[in-house]
Amino acid sequence: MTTELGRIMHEVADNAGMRIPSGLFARARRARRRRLAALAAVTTLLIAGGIILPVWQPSPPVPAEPGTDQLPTVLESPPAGTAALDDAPMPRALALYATADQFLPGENSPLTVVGSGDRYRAYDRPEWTFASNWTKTILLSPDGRYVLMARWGSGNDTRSRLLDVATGDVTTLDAGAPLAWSPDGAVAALVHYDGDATSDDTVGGQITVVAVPTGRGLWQVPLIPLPGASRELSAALSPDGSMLAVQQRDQVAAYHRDGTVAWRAQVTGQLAGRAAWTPDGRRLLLSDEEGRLLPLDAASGAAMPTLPGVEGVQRVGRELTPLVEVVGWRGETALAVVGNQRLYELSEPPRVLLTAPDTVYELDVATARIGPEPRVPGAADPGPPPPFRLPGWALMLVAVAVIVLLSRRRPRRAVRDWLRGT
Amino acid sequence: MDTRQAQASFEEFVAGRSAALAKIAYLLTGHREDAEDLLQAALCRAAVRWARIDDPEAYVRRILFTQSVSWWRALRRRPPETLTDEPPTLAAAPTDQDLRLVLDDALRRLTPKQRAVLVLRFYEDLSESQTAEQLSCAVGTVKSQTRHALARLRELNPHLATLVADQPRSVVNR
Repeated sequence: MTTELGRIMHEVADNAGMRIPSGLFARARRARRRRLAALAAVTTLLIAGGIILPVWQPSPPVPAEPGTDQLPTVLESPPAGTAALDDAPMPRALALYATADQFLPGENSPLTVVGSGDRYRAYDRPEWTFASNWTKTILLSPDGRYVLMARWGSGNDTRSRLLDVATGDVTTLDAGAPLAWSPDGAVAALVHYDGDATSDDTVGGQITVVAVPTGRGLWQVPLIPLPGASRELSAALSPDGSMLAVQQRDQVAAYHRDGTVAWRAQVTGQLAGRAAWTPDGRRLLLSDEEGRLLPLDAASGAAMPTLPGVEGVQRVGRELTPLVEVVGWRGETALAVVGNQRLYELSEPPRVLLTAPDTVYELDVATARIGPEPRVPGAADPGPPPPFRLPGWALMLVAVAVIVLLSRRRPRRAVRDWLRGT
Repeated sequence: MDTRQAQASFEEFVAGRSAALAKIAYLLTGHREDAEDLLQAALCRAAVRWARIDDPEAYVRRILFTQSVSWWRALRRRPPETLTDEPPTLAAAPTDQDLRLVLDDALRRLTPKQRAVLVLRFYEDLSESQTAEQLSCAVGTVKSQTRHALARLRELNPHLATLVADQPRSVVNR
């Protein structure tokens, strides 16, 4: 009986009596053109927004006003999609690190820059550099505004790259590779070798104290020619920048600004970082394998009673790193990076202020204008999303291509045919 | 085929086939205005691709059926007329005209998918597999929708039971 259903349905349909207007073809084409025009307009607006939005964003930020920031208790690995520092600069960095999983021999080893408010940024170094237990490749200025990076050329071509964290700009300082910042960040000590200092040849050279950021040379001290001179060299500037302590192997020499030697001493430890001079300038600290701090009298080079260090603290970090690196002071208490993993306040007993990810093999922390208590970090801020990091010309190119494809028939068909492989 | 040729071909198609397509559209929607909208939308879709369509009739029919069950189109559909729960009272032995009115009314009370299935199966006389292909759904869906639609028609008016008393035809590969 369902054939009857079909028959009655035909009768129902036959009585519908409908009208179809004329001119449907032209109307359809007009409607389609309007839709495409609207789509092109919306696409253009979206892409134009992508170009304009970065202009609205407060970048590059102005240099930070004097104030204090709180260090996070823990540093994280850089979150996925972390913005490049060049695209999203920060007023200053609180910490800077390179991790082992970012390290690829022969390739540039990227850095992670951590700012206030848990802001994370990535920075691709212009060239690969190496670290040793004496030589750091990344030196963050005490105020966190600049980063000094070694640029090792062939032979005696050693220079420094100076990265301005607040703008992402990089300049080259020709006086040599970085050795140490002064505690106030106004000057830095750079070393130049007269030959290939990484070889076993006996090579001399000189250390130049330069003004930052201009790179203007202020004064120089000579290096004692030694085989593999770069492997066992460290230096520290006094708080007022008037003296420079230079250690080559087991000998420390203190120089005045005029290049004259104040004293020389045979030592068993190693200069304890960029803030190895105590804030009063009366002692110069060395650290030893046991985690102790061994002071020398800054006036004579004579050994003084041992200071509390990190003895008894479980050793952490990488074999390549110096054990204790004093990076700043809070009153009479040293702040030290230990094992390139943790920042300690060397009180009695030592207190951990900051811990870096396990894979970190180089760590530096800015200690100027840091609040006394670290804070529990919030969610990491990776910076602006990638689309807004595209340069304006690339976005404009995409916009033009989209508009052309949407508004013209032939290019669209050409693309379709190309996709079909015909 | 250039644009002028495409337009001439399209208008020839509309003149020749729009009456038949309009009937399908009416059965699918149950309302004259909705049917006109549906058919015009289908023809407009076909118009912009006319030069590239191999079988215009099949293309337009497919658009009619898929659009009639489209949820997006359902949002724009006119609200159904207010109808009473009680079916119209008919004479004991209804005439064909009575049955036509009853069926017309009953079809409007089915879901779009049920209507589409009935139109394809009993108006277009397609097999279950062909219906499934037209609606881009499984054969099992066609079977269940047909069963539910016929049961609903029987519920709506006892006189329709005479039309839908037997089981739907089995799948015939055509």
